[in-house]
Amino acid sequence: MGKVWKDGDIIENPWTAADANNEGVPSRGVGTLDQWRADPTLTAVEIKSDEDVSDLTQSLDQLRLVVLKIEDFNDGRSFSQARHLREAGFTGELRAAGNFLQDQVQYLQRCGVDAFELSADIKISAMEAALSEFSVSYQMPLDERSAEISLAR
Amino acid sequence: MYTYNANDRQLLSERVTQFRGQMQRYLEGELGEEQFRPLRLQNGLYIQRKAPMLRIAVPYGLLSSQQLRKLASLTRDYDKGYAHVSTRQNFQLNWPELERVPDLLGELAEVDMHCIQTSGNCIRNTTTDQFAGVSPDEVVDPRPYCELIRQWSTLHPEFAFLPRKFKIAVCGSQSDRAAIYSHDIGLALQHDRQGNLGVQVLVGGGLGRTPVIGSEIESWLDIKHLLSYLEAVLRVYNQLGRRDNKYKARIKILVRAMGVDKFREAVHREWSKLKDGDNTLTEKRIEDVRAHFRAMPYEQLDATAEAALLAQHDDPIFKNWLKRNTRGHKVAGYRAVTVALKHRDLAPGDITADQLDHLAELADRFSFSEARTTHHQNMVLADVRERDLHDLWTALQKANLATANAGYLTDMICCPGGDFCSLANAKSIPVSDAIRDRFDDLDYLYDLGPIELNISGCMNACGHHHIGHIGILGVDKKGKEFFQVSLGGRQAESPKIGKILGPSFGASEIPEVIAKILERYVELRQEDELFIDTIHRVGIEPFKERVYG
Repeated sequence: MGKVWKDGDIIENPWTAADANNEGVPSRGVGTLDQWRADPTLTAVEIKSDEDVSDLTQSLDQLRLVVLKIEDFNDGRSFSQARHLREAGFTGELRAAGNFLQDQVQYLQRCGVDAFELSADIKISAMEAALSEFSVSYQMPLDERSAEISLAR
Repeated sequence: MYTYNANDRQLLSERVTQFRGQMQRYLEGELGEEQFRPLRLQNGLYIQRKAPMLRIAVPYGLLSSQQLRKLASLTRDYDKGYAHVSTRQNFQLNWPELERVPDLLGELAEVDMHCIQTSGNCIRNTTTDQFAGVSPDEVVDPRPYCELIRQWSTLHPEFAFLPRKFKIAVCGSQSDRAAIYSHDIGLALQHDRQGNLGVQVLVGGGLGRTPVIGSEIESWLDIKHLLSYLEAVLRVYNQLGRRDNKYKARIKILVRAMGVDKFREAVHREWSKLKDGDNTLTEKRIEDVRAHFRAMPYEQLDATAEAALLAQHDDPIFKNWLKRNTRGHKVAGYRAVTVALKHRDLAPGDITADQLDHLAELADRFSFSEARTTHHQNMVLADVRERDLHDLWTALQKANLATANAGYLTDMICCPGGDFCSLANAKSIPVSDAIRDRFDDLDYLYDLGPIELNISGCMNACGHHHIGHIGILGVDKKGKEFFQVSLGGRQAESPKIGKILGPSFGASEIPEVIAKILERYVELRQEDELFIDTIHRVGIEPFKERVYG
């Protein structure tokens, strides 16, 4: 049980972490992609960088949480996974977890991530500052919230 | 050229602040080497053999005289008084102090310059023809589209941690001077039969260990889809490109593994979701950016009168320079001038602080205060009145910037090599020096005609040896430096990768090897046949026999 930054608040993680060895996923538990495939009624799924999110897009309405598990901060696939899910219409919590840098949180947020699992490596104040490091961007915003900062005309 | 607005400046200033913070965390030990690495590389900062190396972005090679002056002063204040033009039209500083890089970035930002994405596994500086906007063979001025790509790719949140670096080149002319077949994405602007503007899309070209000529995935794509299409290609690459082996991580390997047709299908699957979305270029958006690249306020000149003025000067050295280092312009009475950075006192592509200042002044006097960097590691003043050419030449001569070898054997492309670069297997600069010294008879070089000689100090191929008519590659054999020679590479019109001649040579043997190749060419050529054409007609065997026989 760690802490999670979500929309400006620090909260206790209400979900139990994914565990591939679980026979059954507990209630309020995050399933792995395989567990979700076996039981599509699960409402929280963890996606690793090398997994394909397209299966999930079939039943996004059921999902409340998708955790993007980043094992290596150099691996940028999670950024595309995030945008993929948001563009497919996912409106639930999209959370980054694992080994990411504070220098990546604004990019992740701009790709649609709205929650971060906090680790010892990341200072909360520094992370929050990093989220507003850039007040402008060249790319089209993903949603209305950040519409005012885009330079793309 | 594109002029920054308040938002562009805001972004740059925030970027400097961000990097200053990253550097501070690194110096204080909060960020480890491994974490700092991608962050500094995305800001063009390498840790090299003797000192850090900093690569400064020159978007598609365009510079103002104000920027040149700033570069001159930065090389004095932060470096050893010179800079190096890279084959991708950027500037490199070889001796900055790590701790002072944030200050240097702050000063660069004062003239709207930066080091964003000049290295690292992200989308790099977009490059193009150094004669963009002025060349008589131009179909469409590529610069507005380069600028649109620059903006789209700058700090793109999705594509900052790609499997490997990603390079885009754009060509808007009949003859390709941007090496679009050797880039991750090559774009050729062209009109369809109805006169609509579109772009041919090539993908998966590249040099390095595995040289590949790019494959066409779209013969013509409506220009409005340019950015959404690029986004789709990048997304497929970001998700499917290999990350287990950095030597197999470029898009060329993915395209080859999937096959062009399967790759195109994957792009189209992504594109179907992005097409006609927010990234679609409206006419207004294109027009707004094009407005930054309007024609210069040229005078209406009488071509015959201008030619007569020029003909007054009968100094043979000037006339020779005129013939070799200037080329036709789309506006009557003007010419584009190649300012050679191939003087014997400096390594190919190097330019001193004084020369930078000098060039800034000449740009102000003769070429609407703009200059350009080139893929061949030279500079260009693109808009000079013919009547001013003699004055310009006189001034360039004084500054050692008038070597009249543009396009000839000694106008070599050469990477910094083992003298500076920690990746290099061999020192490339001494080899280029030796070749230049051996072939110092310009009349002989002119008789040989245009020859492209490219030298790389290792198989990363920064010197583009694969596509040189003569390519030289530094290799390491049991700790000793050797050089492999290839023939027949070509960048433009039906691009080709050169063929390796045979076993490699010691550095000191190279000038003689080149001499034998050239002798054989002179024997074999038919009338005015170019070197590259002779090689393709007769193959490499006759050259092999001469060199190894």
